[in-house]
Amino acid sequence: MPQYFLNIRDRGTLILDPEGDVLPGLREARDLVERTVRDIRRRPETYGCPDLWNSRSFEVTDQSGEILLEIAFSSVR
Amino acid sequence: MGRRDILIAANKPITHVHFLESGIASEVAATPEGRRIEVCITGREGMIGVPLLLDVDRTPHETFVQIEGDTLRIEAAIFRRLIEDRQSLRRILAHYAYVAHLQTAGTALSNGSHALEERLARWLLMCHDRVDGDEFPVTHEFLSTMLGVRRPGVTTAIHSLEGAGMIKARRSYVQVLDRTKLKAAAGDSYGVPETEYRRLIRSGR
Repeated sequence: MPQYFLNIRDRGTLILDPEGDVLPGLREARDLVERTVRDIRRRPETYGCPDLWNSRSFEVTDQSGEILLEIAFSSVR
Repeated sequence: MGRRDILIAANKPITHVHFLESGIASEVAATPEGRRIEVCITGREGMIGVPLLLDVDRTPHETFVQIEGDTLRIEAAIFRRLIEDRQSLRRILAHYAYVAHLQTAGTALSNGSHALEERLARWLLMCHDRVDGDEFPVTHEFLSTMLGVRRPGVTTAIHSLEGAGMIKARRSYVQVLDRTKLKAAAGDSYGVPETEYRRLIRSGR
C-alpha cells in the first residue's frame, strides 16, 4: 500500500510529516485528514485555538514529495 | 531488553520484578477495542512490578520497553520473600510506588487540563530525566499513541518547541537543547512527582 505524508502548511512554513501513513488510497488519505481536522476542532483544550488551525492546510504528498491533495482546515465541515 | 519487549503482560501473572539500569519502560492502559494510552513511565529511578509489592499478582495494564536498555530482574516469588524479610527495602519501594501513583495522577491532570505543547514538553522532560545524554529515540506515531492525540498535533507541537530552540528533532530522535525553556513550556504540568521523589528517595539529576 502507498504511503501518504500529512504535511501542514502554516502560512509561509511547511511543517513536514516525517513518518507518513500507509493507506489503501487517496480516498482514505482524504478521510484521515477530515477526521483529523474534526478531532482537532473538537478538542481546542488539547490542540489549541481553532482560529490558529483554520489558517492552516494539509498538503498530502507521496514519497516523492509530489502534492496529491491540498485541504484547508476551514474547508472541512 | 529490546524495544517493544513486554515486561508485564496485561492480565497475566507477573513473573519478574525489573529494575532498569538504563532505558525506559511504558505502562499503558487499553480499551477493549485496543486504544492505548500511557499512564506511567519508569527508568532506572524505579521498579517495574509495583502490583507485586502491593500483593497483587497481575494487572490489566501492560508494561513494555519504550527505549532499550539493561535491566536486572528478580523472580516474583523471591521478590515477595525479600520484601517480607527486609522492611527497609519494602519501605523504599513503597515510596517509589507512591511516586509512580503521583506520576499517573499528573498524567491524568495533564491529559484533562493542559494543551498538547505542555504535555509534550512534560513527556520529553520525563524521558530526559531517565536517559544519559540529551538525545533519545521517539517517533511522532509513538507520541501520538502515548499522549492519545492525532499525529499531526504532535508534529506541529514538536515544530513549535523546535522553533523556540528547546529541542532538535531528527528522524526518530529528539535532542533536548534547552531544558530550562522546556520546563517553562511544560509549566505546572511537570515537577510534582519529581519533587516528591527527591524528598522521599534521593536527589536525582
